[in-house]
Amino acid sequence: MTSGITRRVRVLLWAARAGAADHSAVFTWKTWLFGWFVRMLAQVLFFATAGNLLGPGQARYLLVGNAVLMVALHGLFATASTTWELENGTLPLLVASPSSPSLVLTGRSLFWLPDGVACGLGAFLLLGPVVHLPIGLSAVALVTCLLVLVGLTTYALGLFLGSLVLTATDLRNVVSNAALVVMMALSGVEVPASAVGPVLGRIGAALPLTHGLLAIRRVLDGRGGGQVALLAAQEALVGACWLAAAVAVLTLRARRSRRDGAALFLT
Amino acid sequence: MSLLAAAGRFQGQLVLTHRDYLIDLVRTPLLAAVFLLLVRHSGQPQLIAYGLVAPVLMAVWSMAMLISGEVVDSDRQLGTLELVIAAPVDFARLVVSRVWVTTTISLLTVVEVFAVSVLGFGITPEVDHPVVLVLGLLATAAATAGAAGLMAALFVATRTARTFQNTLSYPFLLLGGVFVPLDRLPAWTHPLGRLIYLSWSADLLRAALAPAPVAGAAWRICVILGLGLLAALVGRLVLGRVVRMVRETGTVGLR
Repeated sequence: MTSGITRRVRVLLWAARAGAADHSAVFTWKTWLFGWFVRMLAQVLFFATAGNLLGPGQARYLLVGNAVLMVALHGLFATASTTWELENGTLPLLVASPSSPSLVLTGRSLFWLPDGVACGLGAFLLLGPVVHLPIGLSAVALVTCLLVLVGLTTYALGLFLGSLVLTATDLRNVVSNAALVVMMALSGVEVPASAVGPVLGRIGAALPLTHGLLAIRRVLDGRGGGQVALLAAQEALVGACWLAAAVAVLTLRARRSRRDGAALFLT
Repeated sequence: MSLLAAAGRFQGQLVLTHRDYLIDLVRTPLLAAVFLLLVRHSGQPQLIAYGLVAPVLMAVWSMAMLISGEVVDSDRQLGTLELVIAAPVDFARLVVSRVWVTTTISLLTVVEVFAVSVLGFGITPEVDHPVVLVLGLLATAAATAGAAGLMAALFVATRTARTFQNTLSYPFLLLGGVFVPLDRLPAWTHPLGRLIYLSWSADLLRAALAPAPVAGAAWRICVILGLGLLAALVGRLVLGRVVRMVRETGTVGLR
């Protein structure tokens, strides 16, 4: 039992390490800092300045929402990087290997998480003063934990979407970008859930990010405690459901592929 | 003319069969909904024009950078670059023709945003200055094609530019004032922002949707066209140098 878990954790870590190699092939620290990170900050600033136009308090609301959205954006990159296995030609090898392909695919995109948390936290710390958002040390620690949670839950959604477009690789960016903009509208990033009506609000509640973002807003308003813990638990539950759905789809597709010999997730 | 038709047919097929290239046609209606939600929530109906113009300009710019910028690079990946460069046709003309097709397709987002506004929010946009709007959109398309041509050339001339392809979105959209007018940003950003044609386009298109008379429409259109032309000329120069170099050194497939 223990050795089984150890083996699975080892597979997960190796998959994460392989994914991290992809990341370092794409970015150097210079291109990340002066290209990628600046682009992320610009997106947060874009919406924060829009808030100045829209009315009092809006700039702060939009800065917080869009800073957290940067973490979700990275989580959803799992959709694209999950399909890289097919492009790299390694998917048949994964299906043929005795390890679970779904386990490998679950771990292979984890490298986006530290990237996303760094961008989200960086946006808070560097752009917070622009909208007079004071963040104390204890709030920073709590917000960081919640950003990691949002990263994990949106990663689960990204993985689920990746499992659906695993063999339709040219849809990967379309699907993940559409999901991100839907989250912008329904997860309380740009407007509160009450502004989109009850039906769309309920859809928003089933998406990752919604409860996590609300928890972060509570922390920044100085209202910590039980309510934040409850929201974090709801966020974790939503993420767990999406992860279960992702693993189920990946396992199903791998099993079908092995059974009919396609071994490429082509069916 | 036959060159334009052939290039157009090829690029059109490329865009429509490579589904990732349709990303902005899928994303723009959703983004329009986000911007209109923001405006509705703010209770400032005078900002509706801002919510309509922003998603269109974002899509036009995005498609220019992502698709048109990759025109030459995609030839390299498809293995057709050597054949195209060896052909007797002027390479830059071919690139410009293909860039135009993508830019024209990106203008479909105007219809999408209009549909979201009417069907999703019950807002029928009032176009107070239709001639200015149409001319502004055409000038914006022309300038976009020029900027895209420059990007296509830079992506081939230097691999570093390709690395920064994804970063060319929001910094330019912010400085280009596509939602918040440049005048509302700090003064130090104005000289830089006014070099980006988007800032002139955004101001003009918003003005075309407002009841007040549009001041200096003609020269503002000229500025948009001038900035686009400047980018196109630099792009042509860079592309010409790159093609001459790879022909002379025989490194067309290697660069």
